[in-house]
Amino acid sequence: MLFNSGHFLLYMPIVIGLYFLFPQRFRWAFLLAASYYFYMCWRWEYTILIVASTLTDYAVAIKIEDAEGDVKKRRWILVSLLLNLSLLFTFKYANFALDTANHLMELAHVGYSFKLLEIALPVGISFYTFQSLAYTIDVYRGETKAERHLGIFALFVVFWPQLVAGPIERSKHLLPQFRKHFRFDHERTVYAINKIAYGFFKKVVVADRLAVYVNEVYGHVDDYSALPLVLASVFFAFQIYCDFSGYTDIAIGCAAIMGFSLMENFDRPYLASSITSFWRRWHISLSTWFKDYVYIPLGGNRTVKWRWYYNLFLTFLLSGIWHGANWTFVAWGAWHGALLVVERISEQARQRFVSWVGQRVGHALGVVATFSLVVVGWVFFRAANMQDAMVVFGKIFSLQIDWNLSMLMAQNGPYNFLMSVLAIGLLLLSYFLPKDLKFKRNFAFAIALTILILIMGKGGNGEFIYFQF
Amino acid sequence: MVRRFLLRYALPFCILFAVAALTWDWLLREQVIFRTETHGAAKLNRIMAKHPGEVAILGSSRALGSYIPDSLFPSAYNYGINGIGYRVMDLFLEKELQSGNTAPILVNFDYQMFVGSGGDPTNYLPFTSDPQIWQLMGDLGLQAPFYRIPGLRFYGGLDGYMREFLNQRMQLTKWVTRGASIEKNVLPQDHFEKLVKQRLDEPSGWTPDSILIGRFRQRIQQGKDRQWYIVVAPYHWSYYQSFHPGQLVTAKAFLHELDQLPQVKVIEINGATWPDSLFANTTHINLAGALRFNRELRPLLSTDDSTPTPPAWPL
Repeated sequence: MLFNSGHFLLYMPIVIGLYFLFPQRFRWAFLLAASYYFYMCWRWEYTILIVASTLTDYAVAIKIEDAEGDVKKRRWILVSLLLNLSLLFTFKYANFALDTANHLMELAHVGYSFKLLEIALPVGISFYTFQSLAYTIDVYRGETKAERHLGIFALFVVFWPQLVAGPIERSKHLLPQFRKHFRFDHERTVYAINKIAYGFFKKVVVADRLAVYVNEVYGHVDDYSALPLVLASVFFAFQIYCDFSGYTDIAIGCAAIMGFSLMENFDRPYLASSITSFWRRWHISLSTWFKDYVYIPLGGNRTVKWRWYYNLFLTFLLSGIWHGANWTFVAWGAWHGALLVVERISEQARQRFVSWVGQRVGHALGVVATFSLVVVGWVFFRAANMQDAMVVFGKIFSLQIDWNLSMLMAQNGPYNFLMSVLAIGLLLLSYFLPKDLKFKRNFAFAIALTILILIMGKGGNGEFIYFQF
Repeated sequence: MVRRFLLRYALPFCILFAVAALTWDWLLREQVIFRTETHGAAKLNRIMAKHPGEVAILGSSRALGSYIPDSLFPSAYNYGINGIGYRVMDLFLEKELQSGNTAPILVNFDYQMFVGSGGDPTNYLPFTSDPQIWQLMGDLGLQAPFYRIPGLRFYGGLDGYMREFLNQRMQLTKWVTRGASIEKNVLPQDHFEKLVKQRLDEPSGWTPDSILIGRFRQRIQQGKDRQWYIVVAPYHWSYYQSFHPGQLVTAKAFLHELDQLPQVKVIEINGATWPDSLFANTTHINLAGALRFNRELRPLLSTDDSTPTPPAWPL
């Protein structure tokens, strides 16, 4: 069920309304049923996977906590790792691996090829496996206690607002909330409505509008020259931000009405003045997950320099792979890993430069440079394959420019182009709003956004980009 | 708390939103949609009114982008709509035949016209309270529950209306005249060659829906006191080449059968020898092509000399 669908607009108020009607001791059961229903609206058969992951990690965490000795604990955590990563590998990466193997065998003139599996990617698998894995690792490390209530734990894995595209919550933060008694709160609900309205604005007014231009250009990279390709890449930067952060805002808002607090996943990432700062503001739940469960266990920065750089690069390479089964995502992750290493190496030089030009100018240049480097990475992320990405880079860097107006407008006319620019303008204007979206005149904000959505919203139930992960 | 929220927030919110939405609905409908002569919704609105003595030119995007009404008849209007098939055209014919008009009817004939496509739902949104239009939308698979709610029905549709509205006023990429919207731009040759290759790789055919063809025959019988022109506007040579040969013969036989009727005159302007520069793509002509087409068509229609000849290029 998409957030921007009629089905969801019916589902949400009904579930929230019934939630408050249920006595506290049964609310977990109601939310669990509502969450499974939410998930089953896609393909009901994939609920089996999420149930398998839930039951396994529930049992494993208890076994870990009850086990005596590190060896036994280690055996159990390996079970959780094996199951979750096997699920992820089978449904997300198996065909990629088989396809790559087939290409290599073709190059080596081996007359055999593997048959690809006929399986679809279960929605949200990258998110709920990581969320569940984080829980069992936290129990193994002794950082949290095992949840003994199966229903509450199941709800933690499948909680509908954040099930399919995060934020990837930590058990320490979310689990205890399922036992709290939340009453309906006017102020909290008004804030939540603002958040939801803002999320829908980002999705249907900005992201879906930009998608028209981006999809046309990136769908036909051979036909377009440097200028539309650059524009499409910049538009995509805003599209993916609004698409993903819009989803998160809706998720946070829906949870907030019921009293639950989800972590913020974005903090105006394009205002970052360095790549390091960018990754503290973009998909925060994922970057902190990789920091806590990959980077730090590898040694983090508490090791020799070359090893530190290697840990950084590898972490981001794996983060790229997490995003999808395509070499473009590997390249994207490697790009960011390399940038972070270069940033570490050049730290002193950059500080000297900033002292020389002044803090303000240095910061502004940093923001522009960071945005440009991030857009380069988005070319990999958006391109259908590596060949297309190379075509894009080739045309841009060889300055292949064609001033055909129709092609500059991506054959969608000046109206769509101007609306795309207006949408980005409105988004940047919204940056002047308080970050917490709490205003003196909350009512006016929500009404204004809703009317804007009604007038400028792109119909068509455009799917959220991160649903494919 | 709940009562406070409902009375101090939810209720005022809903009332304000409803007022704003209905105001927007009226503004969009009256100030934009019905003033945009090239949009399907404005044409549907227009055909429901009487226009005595006016020749109705009906068809899909090929009609929309090919016929210059003032160059063909003393009084004519181009009712061509993007993406529609005969199911929608039948409604236009029904309204036209009910109007009491005695002027000729011109139907642009497409080899793929007897299908149930309805084009964009925005063509019908101002009329969703009309049972006949709502039924038509159902037949075309274009219904959505919120389309019947004034205030909400135009959600997602602004693009379609504003594009045509601005096109009509600015005429940057299309020339607009009495319902016609004719492509001004000439595609770069390499892009056009790609389209030609795509056309040759994707064969076309004559696979009409028999019910729709039957309805068309009935309409012609119903209007037997009126002169019918069934015109095949030019196609690019690659379109003819991509056609299943046997099916083209069947299609031509159908046209020949219609031509035998006393009230019908079938005219085909074959574009197979026309240069690429007269085409917007392999099935539609551009402005230069339209000027040539209308110049060639006009003498074949029974029209008096007071009709102005099509303007020369460039405009």
